[in-house]
Amino acid sequence: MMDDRAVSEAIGFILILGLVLTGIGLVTLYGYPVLAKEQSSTDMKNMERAMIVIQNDMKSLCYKNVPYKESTLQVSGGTLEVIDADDYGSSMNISYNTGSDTGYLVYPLGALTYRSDRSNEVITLENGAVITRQDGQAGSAMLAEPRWFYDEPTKTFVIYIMNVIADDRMAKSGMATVRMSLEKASTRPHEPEPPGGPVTVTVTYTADTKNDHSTAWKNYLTGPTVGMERKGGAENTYEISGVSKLVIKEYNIKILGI
Amino acid sequence: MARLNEEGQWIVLMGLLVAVALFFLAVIVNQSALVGQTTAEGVLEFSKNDIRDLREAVFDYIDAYEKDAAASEAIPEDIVAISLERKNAVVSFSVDGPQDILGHEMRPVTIHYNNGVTVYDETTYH
Repeated sequence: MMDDRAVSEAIGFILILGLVLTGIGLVTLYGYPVLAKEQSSTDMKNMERAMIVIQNDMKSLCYKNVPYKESTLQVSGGTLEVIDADDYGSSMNISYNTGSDTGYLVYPLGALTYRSDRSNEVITLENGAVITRQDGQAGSAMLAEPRWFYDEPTKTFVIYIMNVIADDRMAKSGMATVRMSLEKASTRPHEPEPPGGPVTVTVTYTADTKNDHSTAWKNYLTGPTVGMERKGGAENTYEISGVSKLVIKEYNIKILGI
Repeated sequence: MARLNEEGQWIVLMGLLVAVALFFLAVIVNQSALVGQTTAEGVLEFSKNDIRDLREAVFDYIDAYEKDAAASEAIPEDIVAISLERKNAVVSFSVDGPQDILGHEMRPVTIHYNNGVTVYDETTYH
């Protein structure tokens, strides 16, 4: 038989209670912030995915002659906002110069923007590209690219402009159904004079003051698929020379509601 | 606590195993949604039928050209314009004069197709 003389039920209880309280304290102090952060990053990941789904819907509208699309998504931990082209400061300015013929075209862009409540990440769908950036920081990165391309054998440069328009400025969190329709589609093949003669095409990205994505566009436009080069001396201006045919496809996508 | 029957412990153990297995299955299901979407997109984006249609149009044009050269002169321009307008693809093709290929009169055809995602080049005889 063991000797039970020094064993106290009260001390045992206090020890166990102390352990439990320490455990609860640690979880509250350290565990909860980690959980909240995890939640916010999950929200961001879901939203990045949702934005790419919307981008795919836009692609269907533009490339596959589908007149109307809608998709339901869960906007959690932030707000999804639709900004009409007139209210959004961003635009693509395209100019071409053949020596005898010059043209300057301005395409204002609308946007779909998601702003997180918990972190300062902002995801934007702008001109067919899904772009992420940190609020207050200069940089930005493209999560999904648009489909601009330069075809080397035919020397054709194809530019897609996907403009978002909306009657009202809309914002939503929670369950949202993004309904959109193709309002206008136009192809503008520009055959320079003399035919087949080399054209220099210049693209300038003008950023919205509150939503600057110039880094993402710089990386995309100077990247291998598009292959433009930075024009010396000018900020956010890129050029490509030796183009014999410039095609600008403009689509107006109307967001009917979210 | 003396002499309890412990023969049912494997039931509890199996319960634990099933829980762990379910956890891993959930992870896989979670991944599959994303993978499925990417694959489906890849299949949908691939312009197999557009390229097939283009080849057919080019071969039809060659047949028409052999029947009536003057009447089918504008067809290549139309093929290029329609491809760009409807299919968003930059297309070019060339047909050379007939050659003798193993006793058959055939024309060498080169086809170039590019829609920004898929680039296709072909040299064939028709």
